[in-house]
Amino acid sequence: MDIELATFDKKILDVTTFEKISLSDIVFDDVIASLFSSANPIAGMRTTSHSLENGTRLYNLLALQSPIICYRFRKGYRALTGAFTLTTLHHGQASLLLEADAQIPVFVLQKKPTESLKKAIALFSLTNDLLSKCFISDAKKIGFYIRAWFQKDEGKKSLFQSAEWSALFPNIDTAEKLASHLSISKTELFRRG
Amino acid sequence: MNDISEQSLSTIFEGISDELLTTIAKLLEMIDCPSDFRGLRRALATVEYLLSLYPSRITLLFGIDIDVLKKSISTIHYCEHKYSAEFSRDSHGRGWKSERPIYSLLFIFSNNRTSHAAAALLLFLEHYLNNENKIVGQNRAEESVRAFRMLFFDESTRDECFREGSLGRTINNIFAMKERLKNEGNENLLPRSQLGYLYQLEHFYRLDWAPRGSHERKSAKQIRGHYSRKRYERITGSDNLVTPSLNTQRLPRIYEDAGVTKSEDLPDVTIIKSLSLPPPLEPFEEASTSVVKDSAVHWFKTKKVNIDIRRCHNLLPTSRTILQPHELKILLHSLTNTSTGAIGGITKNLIKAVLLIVLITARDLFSVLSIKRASTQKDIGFYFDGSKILLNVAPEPTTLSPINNDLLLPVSSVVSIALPNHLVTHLSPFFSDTFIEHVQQKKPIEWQNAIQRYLKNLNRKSNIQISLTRIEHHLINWISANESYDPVLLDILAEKIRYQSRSARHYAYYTENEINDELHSLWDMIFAETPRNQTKVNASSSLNTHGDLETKSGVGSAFTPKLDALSTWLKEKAANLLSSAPFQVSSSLEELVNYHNTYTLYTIIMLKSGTGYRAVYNPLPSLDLALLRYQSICISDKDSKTLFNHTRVVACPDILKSQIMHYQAHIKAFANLIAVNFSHFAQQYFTHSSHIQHLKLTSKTERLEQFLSIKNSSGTDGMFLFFTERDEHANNINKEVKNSSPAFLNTRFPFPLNFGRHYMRRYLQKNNIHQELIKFQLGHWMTGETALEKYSELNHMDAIHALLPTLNSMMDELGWRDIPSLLTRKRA
Repeated sequence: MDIELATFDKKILDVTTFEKISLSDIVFDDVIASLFSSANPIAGMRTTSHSLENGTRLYNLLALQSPIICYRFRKGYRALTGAFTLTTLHHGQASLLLEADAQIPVFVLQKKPTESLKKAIALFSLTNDLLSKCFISDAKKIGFYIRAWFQKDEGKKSLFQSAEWSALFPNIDTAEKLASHLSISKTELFRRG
Repeated sequence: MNDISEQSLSTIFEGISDELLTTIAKLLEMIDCPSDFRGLRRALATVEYLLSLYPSRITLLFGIDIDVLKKSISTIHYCEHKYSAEFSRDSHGRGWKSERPIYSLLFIFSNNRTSHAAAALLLFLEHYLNNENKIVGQNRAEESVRAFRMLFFDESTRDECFREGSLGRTINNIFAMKERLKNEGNENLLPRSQLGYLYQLEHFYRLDWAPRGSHERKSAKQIRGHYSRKRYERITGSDNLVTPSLNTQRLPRIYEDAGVTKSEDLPDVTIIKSLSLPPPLEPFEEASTSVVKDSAVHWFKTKKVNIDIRRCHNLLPTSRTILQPHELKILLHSLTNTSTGAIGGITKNLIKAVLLIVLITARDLFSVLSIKRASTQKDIGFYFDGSKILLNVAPEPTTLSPINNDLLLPVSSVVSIALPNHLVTHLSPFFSDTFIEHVQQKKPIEWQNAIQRYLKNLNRKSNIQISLTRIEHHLINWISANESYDPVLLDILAEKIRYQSRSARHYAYYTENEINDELHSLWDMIFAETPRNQTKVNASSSLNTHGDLETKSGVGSAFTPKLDALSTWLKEKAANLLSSAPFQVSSSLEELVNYHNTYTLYTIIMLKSGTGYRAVYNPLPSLDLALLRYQSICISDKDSKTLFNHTRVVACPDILKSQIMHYQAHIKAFANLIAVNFSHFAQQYFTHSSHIQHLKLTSKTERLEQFLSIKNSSGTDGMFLFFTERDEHANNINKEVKNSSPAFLNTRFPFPLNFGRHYMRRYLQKNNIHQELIKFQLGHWMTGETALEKYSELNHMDAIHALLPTLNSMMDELGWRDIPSLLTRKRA
């Protein structure tokens, strides 16, 4: 896993193209859908429904700033990252701020990644926001998302030693380390709401 | 679903170049091959056949070079691998039709490799694959593939539908075939399943699943179909205008159980036919036209408003058809004096007693003469127990079969009505054991003669003109002119169904006490000779007379919910909605969807309860119909796209108003949360909640079109969507999104869905709301009434403001409260 992700990261510039595709051609990948259905990151945010209306209208800039990475599937595309961007674009289309046949800039992976790679890409984007950029600051919620998104491998003491986690955060292998990384207390992190 | 990736393929096909491996992966991905290759040999055979016939189109479709494609197919065929046994299996896999529709289609068509099949299949595949996102996003993949399969393998439809090779022509063929099937032959013998498939396939090829309404006028044949060809009836309120009678209307069982009535509504157009004029005469037979053929006279005869006592309409309290105060006083005085004598062998006092009963029960003479004597207290007819006279009546039930539901108010078939106290003293001498025998000793015709003579004598003495008909219809016309009492009261009293109360009758419910109170107050109002201030005393004394009557059950509507049952239900739901925390209900999809379903159900039931929406189709299909600035809602239940006969604006109680605003905020937040998992529906919600969605409608036609399409609650899904799951088979759970159709709501709500109208009608009636306002809220105008138009004094704002206090108190009494959605709260 470690190696696979590392190799993928090394080669990614060669196998990725930057394209303009039609917004209606792209859908969310099953991996993102299942991550969102187990723990929806939008629920953790303070913003309410109106955030989309009050938010940006600079759709092209947005698509470049938080890009969508996708791969070809049959005749269309499936998005692996950029769920928030894509939602905003969809909202823009529904509220007539974007044309019905709007073109959006995306990064297209030339080959379809494997199942585990797909999950790693999606998780990397989400956990990076969660733990490094800290778009959610409530310790209890951070704990909830991590528990929902990562599976504890069998035989391992905690999910921090699972393959999925250690591929993304190899140096954080215990709850204590995560707690100190976030500068919160461990009990807070694992209190179940 | 286990996907096939190049990595897994490389372990299966060893020693193959990377380029070929990529192609194979792409090919298998295109045809949605299962990871164990089951049945792939057959599916590939179809692809190969298509390739041999249409090489360039297949290459374009799959995006693979032809030589490479051929090479990879042969590689798959001849390479030995661990799945070889599965590869050549000939049985169709379980669940393929829903999970891998395209693969299943290719598999099935391997048995049907003809050029005709290839052309049709390729057209279908091209369309499917090029528009997959849209088709799968709207969950139409399975049904489209099924429709194609069924129509193609049906000999009778194959040639007609699929003989053309281009998309446009195929659509036209399907459309033409559908229209032909619809219009030909008997309605009962329509090939319904075939028609369903044709509809589905047409939608698929057009990529447009919204029902399209056409604006063409209904054909004369369609309109005529509502009416009988043999029976004719006179139009109420006219003398000579005749219309064919209505055929019996059919109402689906599900609506009947929900408490919707079919007699409530007339079809769209009434055909009017004047009585035919006498046959034209020969010229020499004709009299001088200037004298005889007066068009004004002809117009007057055919178009005049009827003034016949039995048929009159648009009455005022001063109308001649109602006994005027002085006439009534003279009549009552004469009926209650004690002079003796006999007319035509009948005692004068008995005649007076019978006339009194005719007057107060609004029955005609023959019906009064045929009233039986009740032997027990719950028998039909007169029951006399020495101090009071009970009239036991059995009004016609409003349902075909009795409804047994503990949540509803019980309905009994017989109800006792106590005749007014101050008149009973005049009747009671005859109500010994022999009253009925006395009455029935004489033939009706003799009675009629005797009464005519009695009235003639009275008229002559007092210089008035009272006829038996005027007495019989006095109460009916008085109620119709004053509109302050429920016309249904007289239906029950006279055990007769009349036109005026056609719709109201289905919704009115009275307990025995209530109907006695109402009738006594009516009788006191009309007949009490004493001035107003004493009326109250009479009313209270009349209350006492029937204090021992049964109060538990009543007559009328069989669908009125009990107050406590309804408020228990809604309090439970409200507590349910308030018990969770915002983060808990929004964090996972399952919780989110559950919360949304509960919240939607709560809102929709409040809507039905607060406005009196009929339980048909989807209520409130768009927020644009909630005219909250005016505290009103535009309702268009039971209408088709082009018709407006049920479209009306009604009052919207305060609580409902704020709940709708909460719901508006809710769908915004909800759409944001489901954007990843239910993209299509999130977009739909985004559109619903957007304020600027109408900016694109620039022309008048577009705006009208938009209004027509959102107005029609049967054609649009609306905002009240439920996200459910259905067990397909074994461990495959299918997510389904359902709109709030009665069939679905019935499974979630224990009351009949029309409860709102029934409860509201009764509540408004109990609070003495003017009949006109009740009709306004429930949409019960009769044909011919020009309510809320330029010839009426009533306007929408006045009506709404008059109704609001009562509706608000009704909602409060039920315990409704506006609950903001947790999704819009701070998720702490």
